[in-house]
Amino acid sequence: MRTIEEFKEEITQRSQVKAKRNKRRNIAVISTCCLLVVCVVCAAVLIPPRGPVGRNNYNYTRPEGRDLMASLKPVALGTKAAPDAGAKELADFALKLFKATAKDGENTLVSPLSAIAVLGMVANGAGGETLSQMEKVFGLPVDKLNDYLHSYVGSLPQSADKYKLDMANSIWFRDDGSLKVNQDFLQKNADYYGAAAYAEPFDAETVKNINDWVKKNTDGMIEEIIDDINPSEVMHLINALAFDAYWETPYKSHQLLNTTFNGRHGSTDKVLMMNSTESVYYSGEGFEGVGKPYKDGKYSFVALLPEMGSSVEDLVSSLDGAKLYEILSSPQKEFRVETQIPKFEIEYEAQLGDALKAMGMKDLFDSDLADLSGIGRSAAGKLFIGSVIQKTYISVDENGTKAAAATDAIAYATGFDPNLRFVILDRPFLYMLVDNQTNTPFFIGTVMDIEK
Amino acid sequence: MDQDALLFRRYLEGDESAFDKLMEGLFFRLVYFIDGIVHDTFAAEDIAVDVFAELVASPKRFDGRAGFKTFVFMMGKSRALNYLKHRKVVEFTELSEAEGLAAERSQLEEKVLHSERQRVLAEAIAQLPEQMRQAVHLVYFEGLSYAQAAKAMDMSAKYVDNMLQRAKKQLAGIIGEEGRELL
Repeated sequence: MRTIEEFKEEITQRSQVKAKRNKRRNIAVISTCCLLVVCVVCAAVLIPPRGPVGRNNYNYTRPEGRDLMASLKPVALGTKAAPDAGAKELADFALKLFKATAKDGENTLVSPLSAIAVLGMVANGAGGETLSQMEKVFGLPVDKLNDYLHSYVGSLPQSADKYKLDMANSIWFRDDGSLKVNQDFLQKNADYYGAAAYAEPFDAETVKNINDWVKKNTDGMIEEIIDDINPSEVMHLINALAFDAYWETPYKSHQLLNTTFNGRHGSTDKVLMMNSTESVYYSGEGFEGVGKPYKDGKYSFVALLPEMGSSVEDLVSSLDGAKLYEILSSPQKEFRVETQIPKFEIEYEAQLGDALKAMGMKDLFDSDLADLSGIGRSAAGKLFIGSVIQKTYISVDENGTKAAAATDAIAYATGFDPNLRFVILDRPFLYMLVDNQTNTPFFIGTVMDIEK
Repeated sequence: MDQDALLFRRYLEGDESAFDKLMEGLFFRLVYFIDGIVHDTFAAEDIAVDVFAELVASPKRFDGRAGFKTFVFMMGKSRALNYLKHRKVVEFTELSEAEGLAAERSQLEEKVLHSERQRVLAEAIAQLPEQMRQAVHLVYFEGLSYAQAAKAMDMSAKYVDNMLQRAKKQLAGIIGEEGRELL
């Protein structure tokens, strides 16, 4: 065994490598509330591509695999004004998810919008108590959630060269005959979420294809969402978000100062501080804040700073969805706000399963109790969600902000039997009456329709 | 602030000897704890090096709210579980590799287990279920409180308490009444 001195030397070398990597990322500790609010505001003023939620993936070229969307066309649902029900419920969901996911004292970044898009797709295949629990957590019945996300996203403007928010959804499942997926489930997710569907062998090549899809749909900001696929996994439902916007007024070089940031427990980090005078101010019990708009004012970066002597955790605890919605809806515009925002970049990864269970979605993750019969049937038995992974990224600099999220809900079957197959004669087929002695048919026919 | 946290602060202020003391007090104990999870002493050493390297590179990760030892063991456990998740199955192709691992483990035990009593207990708790073993290790060998052990294991203190009660019964069955008294 090596001596303690030898281990110490290795620690020193490895720490230098880590320190260089941290410096390149220019990570700064920032109020987790800022990040929450960026996410909520991005969600609240979401701009989709025109048409149904999510991107039309027919142009996405896949060299291998059967694209099940080839036989499904999304029904044009039309765009209508976003219904009133939805925004407050989603703000509430956003804050609850953040509170249940955030780790005290650590930089955190979650995208409630990306999470709820995936959960909405899953909910379209859920029933019974599983669905009830999901709807309770959403604060909305699933049909209203589908309507809200579709309408809200479809009714917002966009401008490709100043700001963009792209969202894409996809459903990937095991293609070995052991899983039969309901067409209704796929159709509904195509209609409301623009979800592409891919039947895949669920091998190393599938891992690569999923990660390539995520990388492409997050503009390269998130390079991979999964490391491998285990034999019990039967479906991945994935959302990818990519946001990129310029500040309404970009910073000039004289507005950029190297200074210090006072970190969590008294450390001081060197940061590039971006100085400006803004005109949107927020204040309330225990905090004050600022809003900085992106081009055309369609999106904003909003930061809430707890008053001296109180913590970010205290501020987050004091908020609920209704209060946050009230704060964001009541900016004060009569002040000039001298503001310094640090340049920062953060990557984050979270397993959302525990948070969602704590919020009330227990049965969804239970292999005995989950009711996902609307998704389809597996030879291995009941489907349930084994995990919900989310990876996020944000970079805030003198030009604007780039952010991305990818969320993956992974469905498992309770056991995996590679020797079981389904053959369901629910479409035209050929049939024969066969003599087993001679293996020859003495009647041959086809069934094209079942006449009553 | 606990003794280890004070040493860490002194190290951050420039006292290299404080880091040496921290290493002497914690490093092999951390390796031993991680080895109980990953069952590969070489991998456990590598993970423990990574934990300490992360502390040196990003000292702000320790904010002083948990005890320093609790924090270090929490990081160790998290990295150990991550290692297990990503590990490819490696088969020993030569007997010497398996023997090398056993020898490394044996040397680690000599560094960490200082008395015959500890050795007897270590052997007994090796027979407990995984999480129960970790809880007993943290409370008995590392002297963490129930609350600190719960934090290191990412569980509630009540759950740790229940597990330790069950562990006492099982240890009594393995090594007699002394097992019950040890906790």
